[in-house]
Amino acid sequence: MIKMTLITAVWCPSCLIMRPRYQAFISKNQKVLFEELDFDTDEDKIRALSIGKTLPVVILRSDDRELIRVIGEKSPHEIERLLTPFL
Amino acid sequence: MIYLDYSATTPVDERVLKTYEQATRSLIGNPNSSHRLGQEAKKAIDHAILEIHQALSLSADTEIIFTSGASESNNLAIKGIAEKRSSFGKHIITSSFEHPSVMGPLNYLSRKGFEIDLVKTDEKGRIDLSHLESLIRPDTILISICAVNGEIGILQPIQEISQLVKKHPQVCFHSDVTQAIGKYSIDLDLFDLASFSAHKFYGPKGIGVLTRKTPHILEPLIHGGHSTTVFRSGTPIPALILAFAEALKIATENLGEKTRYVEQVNAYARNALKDLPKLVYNSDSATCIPHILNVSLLGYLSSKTVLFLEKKGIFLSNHSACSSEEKLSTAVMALCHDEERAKSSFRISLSFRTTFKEIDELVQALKAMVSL
Repeated sequence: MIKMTLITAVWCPSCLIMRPRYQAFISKNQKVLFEELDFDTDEDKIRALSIGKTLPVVILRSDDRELIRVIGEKSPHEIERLLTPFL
Repeated sequence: MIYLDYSATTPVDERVLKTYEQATRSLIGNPNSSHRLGQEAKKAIDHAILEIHQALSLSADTEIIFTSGASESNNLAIKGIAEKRSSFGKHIITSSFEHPSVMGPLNYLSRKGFEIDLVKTDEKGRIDLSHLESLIRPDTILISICAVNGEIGILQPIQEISQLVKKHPQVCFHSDVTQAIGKYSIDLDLFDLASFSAHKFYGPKGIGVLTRKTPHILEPLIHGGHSTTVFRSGTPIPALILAFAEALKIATENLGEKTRYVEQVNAYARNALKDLPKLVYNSDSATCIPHILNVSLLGYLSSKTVLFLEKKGIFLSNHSACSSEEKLSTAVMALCHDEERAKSSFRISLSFRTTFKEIDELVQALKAMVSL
């Protein structure tokens, strides 16, 4: 099972832009398990993920093995190009 | 001590403090009580509301809603409109230069299924009006754009935005005017909802206002019956309300004169700072208010600059006071898309109380830091 983790923060303008783009991607790839974590309030869960200072971050994992990490703002086309090969 | 963090908060004016103290001692009744003591407190609040109306030249159809501060005002405006009008639409427009207390509720609403669009800005951070117009849809319920950005001081073309929004009667125009009140003359009638707080203009911390034009109905954040308004329950605090009105009255007096002085201090600071190597101005003098001068000292982490200056007795901020210290300046990042510049940026915020000597000492300290 492929799992997508989206890390966002409420203060982050880029997260407002990227959330619907990732949600649109997920709606076309419904076998992917999706979760959204908050940079500030889910600190315990994201500590192990070594998130930098640029948000949002998307991590695609398979059986806890990281496949790809996408950081910051990306176009819908870039999201398709970067993530689709791993599905 | 040299205080250059007036955009984070201001020290309380002695006259305001006196008003607060006297009201605390004399107005002991609950303004919602029907007996004489309660009615005395209510009368004092009603008078303060009148003074606020006069100080800001508000139209008669504008309601003053008292809150705990601008963050609550922003939350009430955004969530209040969103919840009340979600059956008409779930589309909201904002900019990348908003305070975390605007971004916060918008991200919250985005997680709840609202669609949020960010309007494009030009190279100086000013709203692209054509893009804004193109984003407005039949299901757009709210546009929230701050009058002045708190980190860089970008002054938005609010009059033009207001004219544009008026063409779309289904859209409510909210503005966070926290960094504008007491700094330059602003017409709040341009907005349907406007948020600000007293502690940015030498008033006490713990009180803010949301102005509301009559047709715009909000879902309250705090339910509990009628107080001074149906939109925010809780026992009104006469002393804070009277202090708010007093601070606003003082802040709006001789505003032009005070602003002209700050312009001189800003120009003096820009000239004095220009010799520092690797210094970049993030605040443009033509499009930003003179009270905020945001600069980047490339190669120097802003958190370390702030700490170094603090040791020299100089107090300023590296970004909005409501952001985590570990984060980049989101406003500088949004302006220049340059992580290095965002990491090294800090805000010198000026006041009519700032002296030229204080600027000299700041520049000397920065020169000492870069020569280490």
